[in-house]
Amino acid sequence: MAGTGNAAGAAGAGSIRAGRSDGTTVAVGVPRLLRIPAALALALVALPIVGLLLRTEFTRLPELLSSQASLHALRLSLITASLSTLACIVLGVPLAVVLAGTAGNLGALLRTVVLLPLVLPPVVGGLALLYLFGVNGFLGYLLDVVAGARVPFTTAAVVLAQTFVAMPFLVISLEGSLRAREENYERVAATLGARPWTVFTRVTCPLLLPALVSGTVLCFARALGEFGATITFAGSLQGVTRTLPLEVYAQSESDIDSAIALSLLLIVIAVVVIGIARPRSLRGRS
Amino acid sequence: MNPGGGLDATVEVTRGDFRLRADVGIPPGGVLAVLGPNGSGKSTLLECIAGLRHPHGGSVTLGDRTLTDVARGVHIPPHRRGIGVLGQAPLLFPHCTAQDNVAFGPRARGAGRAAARKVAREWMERLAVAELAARKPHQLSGGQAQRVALARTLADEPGLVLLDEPLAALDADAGPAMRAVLGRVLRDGDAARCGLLVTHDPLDALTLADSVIVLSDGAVVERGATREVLAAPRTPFTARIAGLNLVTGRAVAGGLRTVDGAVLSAASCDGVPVGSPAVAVFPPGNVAVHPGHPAQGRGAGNHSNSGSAVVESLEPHGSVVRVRIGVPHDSPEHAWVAGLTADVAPAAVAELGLEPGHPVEVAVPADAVGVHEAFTGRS
Repeated sequence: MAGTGNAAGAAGAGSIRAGRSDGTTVAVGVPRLLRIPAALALALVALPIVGLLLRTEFTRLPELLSSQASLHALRLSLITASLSTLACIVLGVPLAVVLAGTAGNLGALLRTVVLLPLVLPPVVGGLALLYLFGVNGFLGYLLDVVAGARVPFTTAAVVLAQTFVAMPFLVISLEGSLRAREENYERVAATLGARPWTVFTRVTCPLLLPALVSGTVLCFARALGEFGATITFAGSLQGVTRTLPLEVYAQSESDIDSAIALSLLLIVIAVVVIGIARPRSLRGRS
Repeated sequence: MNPGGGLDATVEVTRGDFRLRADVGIPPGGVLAVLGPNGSGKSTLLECIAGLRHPHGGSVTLGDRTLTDVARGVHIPPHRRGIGVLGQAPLLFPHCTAQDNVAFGPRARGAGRAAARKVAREWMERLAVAELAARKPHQLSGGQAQRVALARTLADEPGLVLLDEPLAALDADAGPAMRAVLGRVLRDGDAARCGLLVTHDPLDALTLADSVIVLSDGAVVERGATREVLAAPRTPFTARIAGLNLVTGRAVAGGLRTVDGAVLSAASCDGVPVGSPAVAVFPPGNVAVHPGHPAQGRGAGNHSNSGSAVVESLEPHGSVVRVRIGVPHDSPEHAWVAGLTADVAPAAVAELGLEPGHPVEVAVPADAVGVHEAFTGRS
């Protein structure tokens, strides 16, 4: 009704809007009504960051960021996030390939399991990891008895927690494009004499590269931001398990300026990550 | 790398209601065209031969190698068959240059980088695409990409090349050029390599293949030398792709009696025994169309085979207008004219005022009609 009203109004007033003459195609208009909630949504995402920026003391930034605790946290975050991303690639790529080739109920079941960390509150994930690898958990007990190794509250626990929460991002991204792909290239490669392994390494993998890159970047970003599972499973020990998000949390109780400075650092990293990942994922789809 | 030899394949596939049961043979160095409407099982047949599909029954042998034998549980995987495939889409690997695409086969079979590159160069030169070597697939035109894809298929030196409508996706300029290239490599090629070409175009079959089979609903309904099959089609499908009209009936002395009782006189009867199932074949260019007046029309019917009906549709066909004749309303003995096509000059269409629904008189001179024995099932 609003549409016909507008059209009649425009025609009646004879007010034909100045058209472009630049050869662009004419898009079907976006209903104006949608602009209000859209603006609210944008504000909800953007304004808190503006608030953070307004509160930041930029002159003290170098000093705040170069404190011993901040540097430790930054170093630990970069190392653990890199390691967990690597683990996600090494384990996640084969998982995605196997999942993409698994049809039926089994496939659906496996996919649900893989997605679990994505929907589970990270704290729950951390608790679950604790009861697997803790001294009371069956794997933890086994490791303790056989190798004398204790996982919880170590840097290894941080990597495990990050891998746990980040894995689905890589697997889902890859599996999606694996399933969406036409297998024609692989079939042609086979008729040209390529064995399955050759087809996988020389045709399937290169074709998946865009999805792998964007999946990896997302995976790294998720690992870098990991908080709940880490604090539950690995604790918050400076230099050992206290990553950047944990440091922000710790500082927010004592030194708020420092916490804000670190938050800003995380925002910068996030923006860089989005900048790298977004065009790739678009290219991967086209 | 392939010893070569002929292809001998029998393939059975059942999928729901569809049943494919076809046997094909190609002598060493020969090229067989497979014609058939969509859904007749052509691609399924190709997949079974290439090893990309498990047939329910049958066997495939190439030279002295058994590639598939369902009864004995033999299924050689596609990469060890030595059968090259080229489809409608070139499917060049987008991440490789044209030359690396052509070198893929030799590389996959273990050739060194330099040796594979040398083979790729040779084939690209033979197919006149050497100057495109460094380009990526997205920088090639459709015709160029298809030539590179052909070079890639041949560089692997397959004992059999399966061509699945390789010209169908090319435009009017690239198609003929590619057909010429295909003709050259299939003809002047290695005597050890045979080819199988799936196509809709009788011209492809005539220029590229020595023999042809026609598949319909999963069965081979015609087979023989290309020229003979296309010149004397025995099924409506073959007649249509050969661009000919076909009327079925039984042979009588000097002609054919249609199922509705009309008698068509024919100049040539091909020695068909009187009374046996037969088909009358004539080109659309020899069918005359006049604005029809049923009362007069019937009188003229005896000398040149004629009937009255209505125009069903008109469509441009090259430099002429192809008129499709519809079912006659009031004269059941003229039912044979339904579905015939007549080629009429555009000026004549305008002059006669032909339009869908108009009554017309259709006439076919006896000397344009050939009567051939009909296809009766097995071949």
